[in-house]
Amino acid sequence: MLSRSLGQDPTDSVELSCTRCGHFLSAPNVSFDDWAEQLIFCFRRSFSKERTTDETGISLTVGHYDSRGNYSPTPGPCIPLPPRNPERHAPPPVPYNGDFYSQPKRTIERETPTSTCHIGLKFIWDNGEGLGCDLPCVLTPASGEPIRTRLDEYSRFVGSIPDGPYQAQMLGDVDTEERVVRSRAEVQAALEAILDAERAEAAALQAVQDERGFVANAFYTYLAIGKGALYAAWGLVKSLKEYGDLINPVTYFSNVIVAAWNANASDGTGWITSFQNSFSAEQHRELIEAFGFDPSKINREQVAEAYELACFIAEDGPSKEMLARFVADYALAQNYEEVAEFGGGAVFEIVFAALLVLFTGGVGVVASARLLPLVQRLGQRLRGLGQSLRNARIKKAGRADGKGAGAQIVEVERPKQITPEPVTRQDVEAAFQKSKKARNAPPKPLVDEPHSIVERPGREGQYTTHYGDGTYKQYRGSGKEHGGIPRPNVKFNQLNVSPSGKNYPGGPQVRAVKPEEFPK
Amino acid sequence: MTNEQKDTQGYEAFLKANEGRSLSKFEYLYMVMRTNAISNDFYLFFSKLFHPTIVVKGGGYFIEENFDSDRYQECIAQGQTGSEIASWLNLVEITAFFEDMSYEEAGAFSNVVSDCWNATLAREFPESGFISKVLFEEELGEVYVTLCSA
Repeated sequence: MLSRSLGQDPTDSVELSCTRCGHFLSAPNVSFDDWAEQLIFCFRRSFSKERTTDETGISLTVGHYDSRGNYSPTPGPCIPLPPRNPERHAPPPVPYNGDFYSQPKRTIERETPTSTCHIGLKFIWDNGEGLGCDLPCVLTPASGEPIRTRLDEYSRFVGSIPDGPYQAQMLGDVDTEERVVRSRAEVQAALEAILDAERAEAAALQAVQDERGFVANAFYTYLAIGKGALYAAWGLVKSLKEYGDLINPVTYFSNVIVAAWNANASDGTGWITSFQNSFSAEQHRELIEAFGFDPSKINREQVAEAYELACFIAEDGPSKEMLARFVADYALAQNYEEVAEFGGGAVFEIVFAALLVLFTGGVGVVASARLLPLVQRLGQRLRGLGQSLRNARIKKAGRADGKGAGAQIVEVERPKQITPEPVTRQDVEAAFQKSKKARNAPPKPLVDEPHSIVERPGREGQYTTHYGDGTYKQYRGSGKEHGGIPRPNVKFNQLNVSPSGKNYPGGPQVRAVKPEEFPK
Repeated sequence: MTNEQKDTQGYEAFLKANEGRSLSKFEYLYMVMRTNAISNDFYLFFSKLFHPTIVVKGGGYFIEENFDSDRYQECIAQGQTGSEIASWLNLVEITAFFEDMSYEEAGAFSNVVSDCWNATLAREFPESGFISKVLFEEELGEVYVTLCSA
């Protein structure tokens, strides 16, 4: 079937014959690898079903196995494989010199240039704080391959590179701009989701307002977004405690965090350490409790992180413009008449509020369950945007050119500080009215078709059925009996027609539960 | 509402528009009525919120302006007593009327309405055994006024 001239060097002339398939190959310069591969090919082919003709003399050829071992019912041709890398040959082995411990150096194809140029690079923010540990950096010497390394715990690179000039680039292999663009789009989508939710609720209210006319609308409060209004509008502030300016925890926090951000970190400590030293655990507790959260769920580092992210976002033009547009749209959706001037304080308010909900899961706040997941998602996206902007800034300014051995410090400018707006009692009260209004309404419909939303399951729970035309029925199971309406009860409204012929959902009414309305 | 956030359609805005002239609050009402197409029925029924018409039906006392005969018949069919029916049908949600009023303000406003209803009831039906109550649904942020059996 297959024969080889024994005693011959396999790398020299080899005679290969495949009598079964009629293939005969005579190759004068076939390497051992090629010979072995051809051998396997023909061996597999010899196990095809046409082999049976030898023993029986009856042709039973029904197919063949290809070089991968797959069976095909169609008889296949015997095609010799082309030789691989005919030009490359292994270097001839050096004869053994008899001394195991003094072998000649192995010959390799590529020589590594000798590193004799010792350099030191340190990357810091303009307040003296290191950029961070383990950040990737690419060093490109004029001669030789790029060296990919990471900063050490002191934000440094100390090592040897090939002689000559070099270029250092922080995050050289990361497309930071693409990530910023993507993060902005993600934040935009999260903001749109919140606006859609608010607009849907406002649309239902607007129908009522249109009918109500001027006099009743005169009762509407007009308040400005900003200065803590968003905290309260999203139900994040529960404390109506009267704070004087000097003891207002938000005012104190604002003063301390701005001072820490601007402090020089020449002693090697980060700005967050400076903030922690000036903002005690007790002051932190007061601040977080004023927002209605459990202080154990969010620590001072996270508060500082929110501030840092907000600083980066506030200095990014497109991001700031996007948030300003959101605030204006949010105010419109809420029927607010005024929008406060949009500044860094408002950026911090959005970022801080969203991250508070993200870090704590929103437990304990009075915001509607409908809005909480949306605000949480916004928190995640803003966090991503802040980090992308931080990386983009590091890449843009974190580069250095060197001419040879030596050390240098690369300084990256930080964004300017923003001043969180102190939250006053009046702001909170005004916005709290809005949050009360939001609590008042049943959960908004999820689709335009009739459906039910189970807020709390069971006979003692609460569910709302929307009928798709603005009317609803809300079953309220358990609740405080004392002083309230007997439970369980049902709140509902009906579709009415105004003199202009326009349909609108009528005012709510409350009644006892019918037997068939009890949840099963 | 803060000092900076003036009601652009309120009394102060009205005074400002008239350059600080001494104009009474009723003059403001006159302005609103003249400059807005609002039916007289609206003013009449709004005043009835404070001075309702109380009627007796099936042993219960009802606020005539809030009475719904269909719902009444439905309650009768369910076997409810007159006083039970009255406590449901007389419910008026103040927080639904004035959506932007805070919970506390709605409570204070409801107390005024409830006092007016009690005064009307005492004057017209001193032996009714009914009273007006303010009902607070704190969990839901709702405030109601109703007329029910004492």
